[in-house]
Amino acid sequence: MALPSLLLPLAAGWLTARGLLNFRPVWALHFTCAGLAVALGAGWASLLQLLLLWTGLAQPVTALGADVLVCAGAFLLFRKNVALETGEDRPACPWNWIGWVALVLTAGLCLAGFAAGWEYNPHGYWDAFSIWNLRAKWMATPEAWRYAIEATAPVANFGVAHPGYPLLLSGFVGHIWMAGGSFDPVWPMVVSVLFTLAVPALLAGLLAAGRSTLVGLTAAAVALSADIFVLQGPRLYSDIPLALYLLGAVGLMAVSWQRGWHAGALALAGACTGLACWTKNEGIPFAVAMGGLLAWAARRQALPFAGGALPGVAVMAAFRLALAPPDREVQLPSTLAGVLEKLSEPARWWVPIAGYAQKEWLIPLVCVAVAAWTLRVNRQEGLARARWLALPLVVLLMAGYAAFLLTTSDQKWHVNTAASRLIAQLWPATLFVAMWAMGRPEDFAETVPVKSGKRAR
Amino acid sequence: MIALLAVAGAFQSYRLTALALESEPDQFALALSETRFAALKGKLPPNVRCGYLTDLPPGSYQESLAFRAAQYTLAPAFLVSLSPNVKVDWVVGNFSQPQDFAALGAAQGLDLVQDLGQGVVLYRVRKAGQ
Repeated sequence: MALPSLLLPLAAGWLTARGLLNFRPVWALHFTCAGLAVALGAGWASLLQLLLLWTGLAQPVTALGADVLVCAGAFLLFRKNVALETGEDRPACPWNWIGWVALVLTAGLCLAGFAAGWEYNPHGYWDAFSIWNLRAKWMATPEAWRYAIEATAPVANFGVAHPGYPLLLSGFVGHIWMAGGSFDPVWPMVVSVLFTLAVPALLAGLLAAGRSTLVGLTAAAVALSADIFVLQGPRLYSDIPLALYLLGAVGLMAVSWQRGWHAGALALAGACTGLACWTKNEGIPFAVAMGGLLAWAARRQALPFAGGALPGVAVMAAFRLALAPPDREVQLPSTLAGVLEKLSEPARWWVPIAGYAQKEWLIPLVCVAVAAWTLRVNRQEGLARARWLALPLVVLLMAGYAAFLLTTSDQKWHVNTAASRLIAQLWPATLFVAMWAMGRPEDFAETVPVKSGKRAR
Repeated sequence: MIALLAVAGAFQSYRLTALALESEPDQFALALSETRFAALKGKLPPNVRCGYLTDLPPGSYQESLAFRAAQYTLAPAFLVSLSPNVKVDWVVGNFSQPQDFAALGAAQGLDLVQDLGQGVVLYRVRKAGQ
């Protein structure tokens, strides 16, 4: 029963996204819904898994029943879905095929990386088997799930499964493992493939809806060209899932804003924000910045965002208050004197900057620079809004910088092990904002007319 | 040009991934751990909390990796380091070289239940008065 416990949540995610979104072109809508199927499906299945375990109801049959119920609810939402936007698709750019070819090739190479990972290291890297998938094994076992939040640490090296970390990835993998009745390592790998490919799908779909087809396709290919991002996939960590949620939150907010605060897109942006909190602690400063930005920019129209964020934020808050051990995950000084001591060392200020500036950035940054040079900044509508879209990402980057600056661990070790993952988390959403701010290739090319899209439902 | 660069970048990423993986297959010895602990899995009660004993230097990378690999392989069992305030019935021994496992356990108040080979040993905690 492992496969139904994977597919039913994905179906629920797809139905919900399709029920709330109505933009054109239709292929971009489908790509966006495919990306959100993974984001929402995995997130909700994980929340359900925790609630079932906590209430003592977790069994393969009850989990399957809960999946069916969620899917049925999503189907009702889908049945009431809003009509597609009226009007015709933008004229097609004659260069679109280049974007499609690049996307197919980069996605193929990304999958080849996963195939190598499966062959040589099927259990993933250090944090996968010592944190995420270890906790997934406990989350898959109703009699043993509390080990996932147990704070036993008699020796420094022990108890480092980070019992206070959020449980989205472990909960989803545990959900599938419990249904399947075994700890087959293929499922964490499948989940990682889905999260990784959902990122270019969502990036292409949202940019095609908000900017143009070629911008979307090119950005998706560029996203998959970054070592710093792609290498994380076969490691089976939580950083790519978090990257997907950050991208979903920022991208859907942009599309909603462009359409006069489209309620459905905003609710989905909220869902991605809430689930980001349930994926890694980095999601919390990001969510605070998103909430603040929307409260300022959209005011009352931001209510759908709050509604969408509620499930993830509520379960995260309940987990923190009632289940997780006292937070020992943040390695910061406990006194003001300790903070001042760290701040007074000039060398400490440079170490995180050196950690952020890595050679793996070269090709993706050249891509973005070439795009900026050829397409120019879109001053009319893009730049002003893009500045605000970047705000939650800058807040997260600065929060990371502060954590690296003040860390009580060995600073170089901390930066070396975590800076590249923070960059990987931010990369797709940052690329989205950059491409949102630029002009469209279509504005420089002769376009060819396309057939009218389907009639609005 | 951007598309071409993107494909080149993706190819470079793939090459790096494949090279890193091929040069060090089973980098964290998890496949080896599965083999070493296979016999023990059937002997431990399911989901049990059990102690952990090793001869690797405390705080070393080897100790840390060996513990994590053992914990991942034996989960949902839960391994804890032996200490006076930890109450467990079973203890897993994970040793790097042959030695007198019975004497090693006896020094910690443990009875050897079975030497499962490859440095894997199952102990039972000696009850008070025994």
